[in-house]
Amino acid sequence: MTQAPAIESGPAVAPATDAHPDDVLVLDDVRIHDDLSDTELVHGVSLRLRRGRVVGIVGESGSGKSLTCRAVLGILPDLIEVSGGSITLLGRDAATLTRRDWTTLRGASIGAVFQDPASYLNPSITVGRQLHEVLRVRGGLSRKDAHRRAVELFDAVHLREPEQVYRQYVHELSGGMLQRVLIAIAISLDPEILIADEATTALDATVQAEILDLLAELTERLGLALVLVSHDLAVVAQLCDEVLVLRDGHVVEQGPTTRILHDPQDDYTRLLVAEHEQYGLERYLTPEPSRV
Amino acid sequence: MSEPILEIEGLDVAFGRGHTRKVALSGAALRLFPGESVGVIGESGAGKSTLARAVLGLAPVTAGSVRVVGRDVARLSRRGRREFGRSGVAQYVFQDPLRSLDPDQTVQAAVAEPLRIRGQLSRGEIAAAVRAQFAAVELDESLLDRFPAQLSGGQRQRVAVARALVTGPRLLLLDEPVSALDSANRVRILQLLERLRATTDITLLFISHDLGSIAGVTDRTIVLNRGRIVEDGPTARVITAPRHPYTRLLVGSAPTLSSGAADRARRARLRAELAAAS
Amino acid sequence: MIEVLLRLTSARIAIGVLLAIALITVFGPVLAPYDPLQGSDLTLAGPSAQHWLGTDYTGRDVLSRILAGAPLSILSTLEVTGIALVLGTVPGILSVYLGSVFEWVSLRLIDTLVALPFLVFAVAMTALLGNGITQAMIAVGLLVAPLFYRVARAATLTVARSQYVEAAVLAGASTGWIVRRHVWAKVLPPIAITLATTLGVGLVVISSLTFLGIGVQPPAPTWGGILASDLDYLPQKAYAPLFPAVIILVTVLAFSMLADAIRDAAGQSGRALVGAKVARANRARRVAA
Repeated sequence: MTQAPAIESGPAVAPATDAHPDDVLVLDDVRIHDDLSDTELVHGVSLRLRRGRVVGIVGESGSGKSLTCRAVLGILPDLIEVSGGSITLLGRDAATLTRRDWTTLRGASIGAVFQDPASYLNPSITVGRQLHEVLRVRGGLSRKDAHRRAVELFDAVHLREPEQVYRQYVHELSGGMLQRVLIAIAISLDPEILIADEATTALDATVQAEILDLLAELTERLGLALVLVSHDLAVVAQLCDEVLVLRDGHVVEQGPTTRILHDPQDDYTRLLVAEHEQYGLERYLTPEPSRV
Repeated sequence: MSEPILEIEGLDVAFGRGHTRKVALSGAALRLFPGESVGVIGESGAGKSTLARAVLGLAPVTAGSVRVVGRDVARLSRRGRREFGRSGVAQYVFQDPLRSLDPDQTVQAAVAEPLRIRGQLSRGEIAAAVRAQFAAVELDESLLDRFPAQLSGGQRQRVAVARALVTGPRLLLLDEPVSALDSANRVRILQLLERLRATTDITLLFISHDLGSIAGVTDRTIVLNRGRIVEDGPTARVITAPRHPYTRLLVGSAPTLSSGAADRARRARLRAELAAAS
Repeated sequence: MIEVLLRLTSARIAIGVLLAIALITVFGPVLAPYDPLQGSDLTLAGPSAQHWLGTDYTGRDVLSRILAGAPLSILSTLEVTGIALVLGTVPGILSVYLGSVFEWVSLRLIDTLVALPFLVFAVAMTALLGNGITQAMIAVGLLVAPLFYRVARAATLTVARSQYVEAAVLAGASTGWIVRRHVWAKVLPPIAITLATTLGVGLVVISSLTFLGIGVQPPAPTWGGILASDLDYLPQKAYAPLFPAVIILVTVLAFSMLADAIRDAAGQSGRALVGAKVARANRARRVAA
């Protein structure tokens, strides 16, 4: 039930052969293996992401979506490795990268934000200092330039009064503000790819919309390529050009967002759509929801 | 009209004293009647959980009253609180079943616990009641002796619902009951609640930050913003014709399958509207 | 947790050593080839076929003294730990439930005990209650109790704030019910870890007290006492302290290894520890295939 439809939709969208100069991230049949239990956790994910485009990955926890992200970032947990296929980051085969290459690549070429922003920041240093540090150490900016750029970045992610936020600590900021800080840090070195793994899940509905709007704006303005991961099909549908639906490590459906939403082929995708139609806002909203 | 199951009048709740005092709820008023299903939505910190805790007699009420089936639970003595608990009239389902179930207790023991604390039934009667409740939430009896960690998230939440229903409550509070679940299990719990409403006259108070799941099972929605009830009306009306600027933004922000890039500008306008209003 | 524990090599070694120590404790006095108190003319002799570990300054067989000293050394350690366990754990759990007065008083008392200089307190206690093993053990037990108090309190606090306890409270459960049904099982693992650590610490403390002449009185043999008397004769027989030192060291090491292993087995890192070997094998098989 879970495997069949991938064959009809998968290869049509991401043929592994013809490369495009704007491709920044290419996954070709990536498989991820747990050496401890000796089981394969992700059974072949293929995708192709261009500059300024957004690809969405939808799946439950345990579907392999986070593992796929971690593989792209080179931060798979201990005893778990990429066992097949290839990941091409900005034209370089990820399998050939050394530890040092990864360190250079992360931040400068690929950034990431995750679900719980507070745990990725140091509680005893102001958030401004933390961005400052990244800009100084990795960006090579002078003290003064780093400060100026940090305030600029905070402004770019729409933090109100960026100068004041610069001097604040983690506990003084709300979840939505912290996620903005992390996005500012993630884009501070002008990466070409941004991975947002359940980055809005723990946030309130209105704040979630703010962060999603910000991500959409950044892809348009900076030409960032975005991988948006969520358990909620509606979140992904808002931003993405193409969607992958993952279940138990299998890509059960893959294709353009509109096609997936209006003509889902797989039972599981149909369930995701039905969930919204029967137990969601769609129950009350007319097909033309532009009444406010 | 019949007697209200829950009646809240002029409720103020504040935490802390002096300059650290924080008002969590002010002037909340609301009445729930048998068989109603009411959703409570708001941001974190808007007072949703405080409202739930006030209904359970756990919040530091500074003014007003909270009556559950005619009994004021806002100022219970230690003993009164225990008796109220043992009566099982109001029950609670938490967001995360993994945390609300004791990891060292079999699920059978967890579901039996409220009855054992009440201590009126014999062992055999309790076991029978637990089995009946397991069937009601569609859990297989083979799972009775499992520990919470050996169940899936959806099964665990059904255990938590069974534990809440085992005392035959008239009011069931659900605090983000489906937020931690995946789609298939979310639908299943919502279906379970729908069936419960169809077969009993239980009153549901469904607290969530997600307008979507509230839309699924309630016929009335209360919107909380900064400790105040800013909107209270039929769910369909609240969603299709929201009155308060906050509700308008909330509806505009909820992810739907039909929303797209065009909504961004609209949301920006709604945010400005809300900022101007407050 | 027990199965994971037994799969850890360090735990197996520790348990093996401790079983051996337990055997010595039970059968030591019977196994001793000589009377541990009976001196001979052969003083400070080196190891030989007759005296495997040599003799001490009054010609007593060292092996016999170590074997005969085992029960006293180990049992007094257990006594200390037992006292600390009861005096620490029970108030630690109750401090969360018995109201703010008890909480405040017990916390201040524990702070005081922590602040007391250990040796001075032990000397003062023996001066007050008389010099005897039990008095010394009570003194040491009192001083180790804060460790248990804190661990038990911390574990109880976590449980007390958990939702399943709240659910029980909402169902009208009494404090006794909650402690019996929910708290107890959560407090035990960290207490077990503390227990294993304390057993090691206790042995060292008893030995060092004996070394000062507090508690056990010579000529009754204990491991610490043997070490103390050997140290007086360093010029004549420099390696003599090694024998009692090694047995103390091995026992303490075994206890602390066990404590480490319990902690690992109880936590998430257990997976990686147990799994590293399996994972390597799995990987090798996969790569080869």
